[in-house]
Amino acid sequence: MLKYVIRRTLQMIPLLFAISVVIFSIIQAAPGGPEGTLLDRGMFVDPAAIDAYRARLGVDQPVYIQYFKWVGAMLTGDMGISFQTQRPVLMMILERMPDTLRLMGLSFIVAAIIAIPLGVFSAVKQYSTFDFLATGASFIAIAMPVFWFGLMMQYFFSVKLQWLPVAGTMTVGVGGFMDKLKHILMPATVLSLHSIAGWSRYMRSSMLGVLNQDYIRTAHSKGLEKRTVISVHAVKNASIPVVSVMTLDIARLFSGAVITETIFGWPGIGRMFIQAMHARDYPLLMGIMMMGSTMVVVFNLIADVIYGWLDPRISYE
Amino acid sequence: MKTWKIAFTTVLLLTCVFGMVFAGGQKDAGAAQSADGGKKILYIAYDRELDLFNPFTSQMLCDLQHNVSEGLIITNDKNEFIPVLAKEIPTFENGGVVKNADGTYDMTWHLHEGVMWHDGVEFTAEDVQFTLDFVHNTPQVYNQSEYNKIIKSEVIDKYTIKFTWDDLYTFYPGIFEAMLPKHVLGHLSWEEIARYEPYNRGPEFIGTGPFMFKEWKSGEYIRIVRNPNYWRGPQYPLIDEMVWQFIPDQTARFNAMKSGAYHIGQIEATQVKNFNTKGLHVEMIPSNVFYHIDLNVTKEGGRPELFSDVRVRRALYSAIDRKAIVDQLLEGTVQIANSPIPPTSAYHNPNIKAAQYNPEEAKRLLAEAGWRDTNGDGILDKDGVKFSFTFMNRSGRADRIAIAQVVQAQLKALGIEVLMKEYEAAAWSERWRNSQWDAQVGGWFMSSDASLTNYYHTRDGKNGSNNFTGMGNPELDQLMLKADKTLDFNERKALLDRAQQILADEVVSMYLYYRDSPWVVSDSLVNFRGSGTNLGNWWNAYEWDLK
Repeated sequence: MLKYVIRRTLQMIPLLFAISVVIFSIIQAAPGGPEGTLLDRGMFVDPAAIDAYRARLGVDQPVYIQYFKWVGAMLTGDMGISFQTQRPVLMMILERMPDTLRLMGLSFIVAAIIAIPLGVFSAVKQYSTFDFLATGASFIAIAMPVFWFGLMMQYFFSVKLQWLPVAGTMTVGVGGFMDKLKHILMPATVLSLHSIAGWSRYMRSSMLGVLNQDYIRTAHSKGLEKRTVISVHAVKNASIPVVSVMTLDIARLFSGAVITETIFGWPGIGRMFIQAMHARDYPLLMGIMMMGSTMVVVFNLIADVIYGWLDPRISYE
Repeated sequence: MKTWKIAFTTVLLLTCVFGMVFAGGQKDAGAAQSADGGKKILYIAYDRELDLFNPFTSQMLCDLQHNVSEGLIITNDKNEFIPVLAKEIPTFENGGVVKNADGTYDMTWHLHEGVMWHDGVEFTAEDVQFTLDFVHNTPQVYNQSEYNKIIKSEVIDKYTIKFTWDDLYTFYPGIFEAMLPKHVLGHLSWEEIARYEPYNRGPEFIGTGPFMFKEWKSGEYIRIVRNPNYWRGPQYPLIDEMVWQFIPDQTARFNAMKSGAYHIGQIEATQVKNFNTKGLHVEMIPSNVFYHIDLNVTKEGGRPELFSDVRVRRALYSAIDRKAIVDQLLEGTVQIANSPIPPTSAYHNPNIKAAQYNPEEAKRLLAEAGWRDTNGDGILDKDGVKFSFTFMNRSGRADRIAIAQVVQAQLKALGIEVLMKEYEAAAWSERWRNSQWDAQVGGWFMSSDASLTNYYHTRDGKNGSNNFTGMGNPELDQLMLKADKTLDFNERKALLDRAQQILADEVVSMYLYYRDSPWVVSDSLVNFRGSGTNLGNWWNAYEWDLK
């Protein structure tokens, strides 16, 4: 097992290099450059000033030179300086991390608490009214655009009922637990709904597969209570694939949620990513995307390890 | 055993949930003190997050900054430059501007005495000199070229500074809208100042303004608080604190304003009709932005075969129903334009004779110019060339794209094919600068001095730095240059009146409308007098009050 983990960890290095080449090329291949923000000032800038600006940022050089400079700095732990804010990229990412993880983590936990029982009940009561309702609701939730749902929530809970605030993590000058809860409620609901819908479908189908297995019938025929059969024998085995899916989703927690964060004025990574993209802030984009990629690669490994640990039939030797 | 397990898991999960909601609470420091005492806090639903505070190196429009960092001047609600840290704006009449024998001009600024930076150090002419030096040495300052026309400067005494200009310019009272503190930044190199985090982000961002920096929560808000030692007197400012919440999404900002949690915020023209929340009202603030369609008449990248004939350009203008655009897209919230200088400016010419909507006249002019549908495909042609051109649209600029679409439909009725192509900002500007486009919809700022030279002077390397349409009219060039160097109002007005008429006759730019910005303002906010210039609505924030 340890050998396997070490081997996989070593394999990550060339993989991440390859990812960085691809991301860097795609970012650079997008037309235009960071000087586009100069125009957003609503003023017109002397072309000579634009050239000077590009030279100052180093984007006037060939792409491969820019890449090697970036990699070289990255290897020494320097993620570069953001074009827009003139601040270190690492600092900007770390600054946004607590609020990102708070929102994403909360919606993750809430989604897990709801999705798993929902999937189990749907499977146990297959084709019941409950199952149909849950299935229908899941499809609606998956199909519903996040921005629309977010704005509708705002309209009802902030504009009509005036219960919840529209934006931010807290009321400046108030704070406190209830205030923060009110602020996180809507974005967390929007985000968790999507996960609930997805995960409960996985749980349901996995559970249905398990319920038809011989050992479940054996357990029933031994005279075990139905409750015990389901909660001890079935759920445990059915949750193995769901747990690995959820583990992979943990990687996403670090990248934030672009649309939800924008609508609810949430200071997360997702919104910073969008801003960086509009401004062609190459160092910040690279920083965020490499962090996201690293997380995906790492959590893939973790998911594999957990899978092997949960399911003894799988061996990595 | 099982019950114990379930209980344990539940407690664990609840702890997580609780912890997550509450995490990151260390920034609550100010909460306790501001919850009591009935502080007057102004909440602003702001449409963006700043990149950095330094108003000279920020690549965004600056308004928040001027509450903290004041300059020698600012623009008021009447589109006039008014002195702030200067006692008055120097002119020939008050003796502040003097012509030298060698053709240069000396301009002497007298500063208010006893003005203190937020840290208690006195603001002096040395700071003005330092600010000028910074701009001269920092190429990323967007209007550095204007400052570069100051060829010499001299600190006469603590409160007096003299600039020597190489010539006379009308924009001279419109620069120095902020000041850099020499005692804070003086030990750094120019490049270091541009990257100096404590100034760009906060704690050392000090000025002489009515508000002082308090906190910048990345991605969420900026707080500025009352300066108790403001130089206009201890009674100012009247409000205690401003919170600028970043809400970039248009609809979310509209919801935020309707929720009643904010005192001021900008909305969209199309949202005005649906805004009827008690305690708040919409103010239409006339801005200096004029919307227009540019035609590319350059020989290299443009469409001279279509647009070089002035009759064709006039026909296009006559074929565009501007009233329909204004009514359909902006719910009639704006004024139709005939010239680039908006009515907010004293230099606006209301008597321009410009082509008005008249499809019959358009048809006649096109036929006269030789454009007919000879092959019966519904599109006009001449010498085998179809009358077809493409709008270069910029991604994300929905307002301009919508205009292009309406124009597309209106011109189709005359047998003109209009295509659309979208480019993102940077690619767009690349094509724009190289004149690689046919037509575009623009919404540009007219500066408060109403100088037209950058936009319309023949592009000759010195003037017309943003003229990429190929516009070049010798009489117009002369008028604009002369106007730029004429300080007498009546004389200058006559020049610009004539220049505006020539622009209307040339029809290389087809003026559509002047934008009014809808701002939602709380009924409780007193003394708000919005300004449509690029320095923003906060020019008199020191006398704002919340009732």
